[in-house]
Amino acid sequence: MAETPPGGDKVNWNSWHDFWVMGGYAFYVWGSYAATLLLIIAEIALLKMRRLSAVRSLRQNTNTQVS
Amino acid sequence: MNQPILLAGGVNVFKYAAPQTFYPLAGKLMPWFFWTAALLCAAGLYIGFFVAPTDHQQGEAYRIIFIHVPAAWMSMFIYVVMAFWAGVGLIFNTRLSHMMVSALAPTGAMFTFVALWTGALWGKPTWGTWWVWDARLTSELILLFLYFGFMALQAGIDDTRRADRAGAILALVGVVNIPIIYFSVKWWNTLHQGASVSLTSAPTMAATMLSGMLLMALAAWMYSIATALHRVRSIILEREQGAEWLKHLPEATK
Repeated sequence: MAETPPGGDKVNWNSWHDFWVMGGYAFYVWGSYAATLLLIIAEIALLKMRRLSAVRSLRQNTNTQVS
Repeated sequence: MNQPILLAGGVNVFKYAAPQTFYPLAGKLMPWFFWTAALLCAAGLYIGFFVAPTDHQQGEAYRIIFIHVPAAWMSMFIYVVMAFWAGVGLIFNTRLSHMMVSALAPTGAMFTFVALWTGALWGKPTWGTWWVWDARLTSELILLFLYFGFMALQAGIDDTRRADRAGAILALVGVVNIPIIYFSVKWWNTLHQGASVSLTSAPTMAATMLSGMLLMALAAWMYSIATALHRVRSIILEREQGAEWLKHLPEATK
């Protein structure tokens, strides 16, 4: 691990491989980020589904009353 | 409300308390909050991974902080906001307040789970254990159960008004857990470290680490507002079924 100069110019990762290895903590760091990303995707999907079904029943109600 | 409360600009605050006026407003605001969240998240992750240096004690494992701390803050803050709207709903009997409480709960539960999950993945390499029954961790787990309890209670009562009142009381009673979580690291001797950031003293972390974390915290904030607005719109559609104004919405006639 290189010394950080006061200016903070140090490059954190020498290669993408370095980045993914995460100093040996890949499982913990990427396990945290992956789970969070999955949950956010799941929440957005659930939001969209709830919206779709709410709009669908709204249209059904409106159409049955018009005709 | 016989006497409408007017803000300095003459805006009637209660105008937007009506689902009818709030629904289109929420729809307009929601994408802005969502995209602001995405931008802040991108900036926060960039600083977190490419600018913030390696921690000299924890190596790269500390980079979990950029989601762990914002998620933990959000998990507590959302609950406080829920309790606030629950109180407003109970006192003023405003439907929209209760809808807001319901709209916030799933996002709050999500952030609580994220805080616990990332905490476990951080605890293993730094403390040598996934979990301990210490005050901070236990009270955060209770928070998760409070969110689940609120959602189960609301889902279990068919009558909406009764479900709202029961949920609001649970939200208000459960709010005592929030100071317990927050001060647990001071009140008890815990394995969990004390606050790195507090209002009364200088942060005990590098400026770049701190700025990455704060950007992520702002992103979490914007994301929560976006999801709550999105969800409350669905709740309005579900609950206002049959109301005349709904039939004139563009999404109703398309």
